[in-house]
Amino acid sequence: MNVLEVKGLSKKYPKKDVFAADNVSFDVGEGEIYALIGPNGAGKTTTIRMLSTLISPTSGEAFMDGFALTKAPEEFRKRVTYLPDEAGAYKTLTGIGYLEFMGSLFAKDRAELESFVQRGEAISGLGEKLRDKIGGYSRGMIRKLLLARAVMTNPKLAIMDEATSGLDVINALEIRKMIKELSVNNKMSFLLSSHNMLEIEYLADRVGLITAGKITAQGTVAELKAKYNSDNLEEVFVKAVNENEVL
Amino acid sequence: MKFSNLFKKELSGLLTRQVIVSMIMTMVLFIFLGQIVGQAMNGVTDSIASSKLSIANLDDSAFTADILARMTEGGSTLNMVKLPESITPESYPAELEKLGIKSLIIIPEGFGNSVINDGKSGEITVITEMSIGGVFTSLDSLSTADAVNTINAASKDEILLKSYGVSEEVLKKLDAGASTVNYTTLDGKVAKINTASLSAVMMMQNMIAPIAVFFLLTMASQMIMTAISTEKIDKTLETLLSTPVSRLSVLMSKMAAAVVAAILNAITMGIGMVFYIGGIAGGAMNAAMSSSSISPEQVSSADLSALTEQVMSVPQALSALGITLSVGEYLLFGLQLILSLAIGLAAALLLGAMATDAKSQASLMLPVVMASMLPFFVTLMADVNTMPVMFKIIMYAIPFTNAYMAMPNLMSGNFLIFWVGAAYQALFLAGTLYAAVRMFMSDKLFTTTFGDTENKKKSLFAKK
Repeated sequence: MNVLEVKGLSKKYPKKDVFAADNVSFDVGEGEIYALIGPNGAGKTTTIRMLSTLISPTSGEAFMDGFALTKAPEEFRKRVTYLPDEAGAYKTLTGIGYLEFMGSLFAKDRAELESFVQRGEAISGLGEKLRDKIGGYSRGMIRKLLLARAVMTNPKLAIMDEATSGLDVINALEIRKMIKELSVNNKMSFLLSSHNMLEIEYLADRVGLITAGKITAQGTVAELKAKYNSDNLEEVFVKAVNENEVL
Repeated sequence: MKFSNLFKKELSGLLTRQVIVSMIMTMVLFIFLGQIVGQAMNGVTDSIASSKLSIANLDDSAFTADILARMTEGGSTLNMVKLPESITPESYPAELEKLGIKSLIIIPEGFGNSVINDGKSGEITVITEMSIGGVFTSLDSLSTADAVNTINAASKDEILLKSYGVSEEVLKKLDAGASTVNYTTLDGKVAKINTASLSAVMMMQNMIAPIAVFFLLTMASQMIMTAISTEKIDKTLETLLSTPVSRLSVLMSKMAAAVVAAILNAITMGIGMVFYIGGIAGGAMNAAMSSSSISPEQVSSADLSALTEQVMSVPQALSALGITLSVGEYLLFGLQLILSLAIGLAAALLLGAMATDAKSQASLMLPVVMASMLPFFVTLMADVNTMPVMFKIIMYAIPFTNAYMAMPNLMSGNFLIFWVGAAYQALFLAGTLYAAVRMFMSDKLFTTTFGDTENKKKSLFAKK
């Protein structure tokens, strides 16, 4: 069963000649990890921002649990969480205060909020540091806090742009493990965007390769490797981008 | 070479386009301000320099004639006027208007003989027309006060008095000089009170409102702008707006919080400023309050001198001159304040949404600060309503001017200007709010930026 269905989603910014996202279509199943990869400026962030309801599509549609992105953005948004690349957190709040504030925007009642926060505390792994002001956190700590925030509400789909950017190897491994576990155990779906091909190869069930706003190839990592006769995803990426540029 | 490249890099970082624009805007502001204040100053200094001292001399004694002659010799230009015999305080405003003068000194009949024979000065009446406006509009009465002082000094001058054969016995009995009965007129109304003291009190009252308006406007605008731009700069806005809350809720919560914080700030700053101004204007204020705090009944029972007898209290005088605000008028002032505050917030919101970093945020705040500061200083120093039409239009085109002028306009009964201003404010607010909400609700919040000119800049270090 698909959690997200994206159908011909396009975005053209004013005063720009080309589409930032051009007729993008893909779907994400329940508990599936779908990764969007592509060169800088290919349209990954534009697609992700549309699916996070931050910007509106020029044309096309997306459905989340049956709710249309353009017709019921409020319902759509309830089922999605978004972790932007290089996102920050409110420096004047403590870690726990941040989780409580963000959780309160999703929770229906106090009990649900408490369960969100407990979950966030456990996932973040920050322990007593959660009682400190975020202003004193390292980049890695902030990223862990934001990741915990993104999944603590148990969304249908968690959209993560460069989920492990700024994290050291050990922290990055922990996060990848956490994403994998949530997708398997909690049936949480993920839409990831990353430039780290090793990470994508480890995490993604399926990959969509986006170039110049268009999805030029998609499938499992194995399928893409076979299609481009490559040993790893980095080679797939290079070949696919070059092929698209030649065309 | 290395130093020059370092220097160029530092200078280009400091002298950005925004900084240069802000420098030019500041310069233009002060030039404009200088023009207006200069004009107000010129008007006052010209009127003081060229004005004749209007005196109605009802005393036919040689002594009084001598004093007036000495004043002329001292450089004063006297404008001797005749008053109708039936004149009463109620007809003072009409008489001043008929004579085309702003102040008048009346020397009573028997003034000279009373000094020479009994050592007692008579009662000099001083009538002054008051104007509600900036600091420089209340300086007209200075020359009149000087003239009264001169008459007083002459009435106690022993050499002069001896030349009129005043005995040593009478000289010992000399009183403190002529007592003065002050009348203040405004728009055909009259009140028995000293104009300078009343002006000082009025100035105090009229300064509190603009100071409160200024702090409220700039602080609320600064806060809402910071609230929006910091979210963008710290990259928390995308996360916040992807949660299941409407953008309008986010927007309104920010505006409401900014208003509350600004009100608290304005109250604390306002209290500080009131004490600061109170310290400056303390002398005049105290004089007015000490004479005004005695009711007519208290005066007679305490058998005080004629100096304070039947002098009106400041509230009585304000009421007699029709320059008190009713509850309804205070509500109108509140309405004007809310309109201005809303415009400031909407404009700051619109501009703050375009900020990409702290530098651009400071530059974007500049138009709001300038639009608050210019009318603040101008209205503090001059009366916008008496300016030439062009200046008047320019000043009232700045929406915040209406808030600064609301109090004087309501006091002076300039309801047409008030309501036209309020209508203009409402239209301006609708336009700004529409643009701000539209921006916040649309993609432009994430796509519109200010000061992103890096890609257009030529490299500083490129070889020519």
